[in-house]
Amino acid sequence: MGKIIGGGLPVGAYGGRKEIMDSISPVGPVYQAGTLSGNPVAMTAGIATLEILRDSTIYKTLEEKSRRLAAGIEKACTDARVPAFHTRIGSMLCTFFTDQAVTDYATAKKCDTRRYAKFFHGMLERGFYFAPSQFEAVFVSMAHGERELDATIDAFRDVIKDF
Amino acid sequence: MKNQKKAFAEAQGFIPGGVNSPVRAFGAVGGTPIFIKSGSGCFLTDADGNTYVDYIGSWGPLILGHADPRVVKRINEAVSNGTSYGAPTELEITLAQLIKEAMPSIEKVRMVNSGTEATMSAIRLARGFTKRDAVIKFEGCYHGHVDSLLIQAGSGATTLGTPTSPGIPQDFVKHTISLPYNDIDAVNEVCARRGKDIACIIVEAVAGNMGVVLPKKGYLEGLREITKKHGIVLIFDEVMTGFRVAHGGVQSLYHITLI
Repeated sequence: MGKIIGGGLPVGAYGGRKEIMDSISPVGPVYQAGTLSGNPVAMTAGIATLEILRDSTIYKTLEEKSRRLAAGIEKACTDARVPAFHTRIGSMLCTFFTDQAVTDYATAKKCDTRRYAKFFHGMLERGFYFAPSQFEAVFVSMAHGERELDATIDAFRDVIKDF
Repeated sequence: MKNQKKAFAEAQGFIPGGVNSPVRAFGAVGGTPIFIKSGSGCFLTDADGNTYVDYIGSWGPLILGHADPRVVKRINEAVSNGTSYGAPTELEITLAQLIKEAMPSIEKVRMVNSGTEATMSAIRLARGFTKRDAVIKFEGCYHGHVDSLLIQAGSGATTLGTPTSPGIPQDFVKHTISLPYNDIDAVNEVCARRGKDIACIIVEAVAGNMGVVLPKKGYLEGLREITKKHGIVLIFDEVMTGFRVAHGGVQSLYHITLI
């Protein structure tokens, strides 16, 4: 694990059943250590974030926001007849510029990365910062409001109309 | 673009490629990367004063947005008590408990400083625990820049893979088997032959580093079944998906317990 559990500070973690985890030093023989591991600032950022995320309505809200964005993007592609394959799970989503389903690395590699580059710069010029690579995820946060999501969809439509 | 063009040129003089992680250099899309001055909520502001709606979120951590005031306040309070002691604190217990209560597979957890460190340590542990050497990973799944996992698949399951980066001896990847993602038959086939040599299978339960690629129906359950059968440790890399796709990560959505 990593990323969210550090609340924006550098944290990773690995865990599992007791029997396996107790093989790590100092209990067990498998060595692993770290000068800054578990430092109070990173722990505090993680705690503050995970305490907020205990509220189950957050994931419901994130789902709604993400669904709104994904549906808008999908419709924009359909309307503009831009072939695309869309994936989403919770607040992580992706639009692959390809005319086939993406299920593994071989199919992912068939995407039109030049088209993605054009899309990326079009969005950036309009004030929307997507990942500078086709092979990354779009992350929606609790801070994205309906206004920004809808503006993103409008910009998306505008960018792909020349494709 | 005035300030950031200058900044990028200057950065390239001191920092390889001008960046501290390669994707930031815009190599895949061309152009000059934007240099960020500040972030707030879903917005980022660059060195030239332009504002953007951000969909990267620092590559995943910022599920609450940039500089959430509730988090910032707690960080500020923590900093004034000292930034690191190199000794245990009660804060570590609290974070471990928060993770354990959310993640069905976790009984104990060890904190490190990055996702790369987490996967690297998890693999060492799986090897030490099982007293086996081989590791199965899947093409297109990224688990940080762990030497033995930076591998390009060979042609067919019987051919050895090769390292994708110079600086990694062929010997370091000779115990790594790279198979196509979402192909349970390939895993079955390898485990039927070499099950007793395999320490662990590491997988991004939902792949997020070749774009977002979802597991086919039954794939994750299949991995669980095979690993159980052969005494292999199943490692779900939930660096990206933990507390993201659901409070308890992919494992809670698919009701897979790694215990």
